[in-house]
Amino acid sequence: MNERILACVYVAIDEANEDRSDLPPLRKSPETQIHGTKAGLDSLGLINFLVALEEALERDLGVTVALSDDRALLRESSPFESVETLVAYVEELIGKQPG
Amino acid sequence: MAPRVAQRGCALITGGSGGIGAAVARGLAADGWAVAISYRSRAEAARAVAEQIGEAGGKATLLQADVSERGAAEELCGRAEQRFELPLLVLVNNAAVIADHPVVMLDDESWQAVLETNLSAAFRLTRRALPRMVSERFGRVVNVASVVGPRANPGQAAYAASKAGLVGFTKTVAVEVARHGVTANAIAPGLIETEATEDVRGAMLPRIPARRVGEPAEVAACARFLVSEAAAYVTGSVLTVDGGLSA
Repeated sequence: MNERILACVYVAIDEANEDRSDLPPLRKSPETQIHGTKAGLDSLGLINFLVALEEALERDLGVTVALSDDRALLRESSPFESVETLVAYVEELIGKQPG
Repeated sequence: MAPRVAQRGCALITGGSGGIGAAVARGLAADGWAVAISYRSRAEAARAVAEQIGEAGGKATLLQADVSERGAAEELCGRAEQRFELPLLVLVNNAAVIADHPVVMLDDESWQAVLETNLSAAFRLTRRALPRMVSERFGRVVNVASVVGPRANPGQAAYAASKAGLVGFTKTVAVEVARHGVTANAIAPGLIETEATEDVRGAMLPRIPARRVGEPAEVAACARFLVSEAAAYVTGSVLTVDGGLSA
């Protein structure tokens, strides 16, 4: 697993947890379920989380990826299920970028 | 210098072939937006609006669609982005129909038709457009509501319900995306000089404090402001343009 991307995901988790003061915080672990379970983020929380992740990736790794646009959100097999699948998805997106 | 925001994206105006929609299209084009004008049946009128924009040095494209159809949102937003090769950053939900009958004479089909065009279409278009706006950290949704809705207007139950619903929808969208640089606002026009109001102007005029009907360009001026960067902190609001009618 790409540790630098993972660190950005954890930054976004920190931000998401700030909005979940009345809910159990998301754990910073590859197994954490981000979306699609009761313990995870709701749809609006997911959008906010993805925007935070986009910003962390741009700020810390200098890469611009679009996670919060419609393509990713409409995928049948969601890349946002867990931290592990999300890191793999971001890696895939970065790999597709030219140069 | 950062490029002006109008150069970063395009705008879609539904119901853009005449009246308020046409005025909004012309206004946004004058502000530098590439505008996609959606119309249902008035191709000639829509073409005239696009030509006026072109002659004034603006960019416009025409998109035919019935916004009440479920696939129209994807079709319209996708085609606008393809034609201009720009993300859709401004959505003006203006298309509307009326079915004026007292409630006891209002059939299911008429009720449904009004709700689908005036409210459900705005929902589907907004749902389609928002992710990209969020991703771009800039977006403007402007919903053309009405002074009817918050206020009663006998014979317009379906229209009033649709426009009141549009205001509630607007406020909810505004709160959901506020942190991402995306705003959602409604404009509530009163009696405006359009084909739709031709028959009622005489009777309404004495009730309007300004003693005149409004011009479509006066509604468009509000839309232009709400779309502008100057209105970045204005969201979830309803801007009434009615000459004091509902004050």
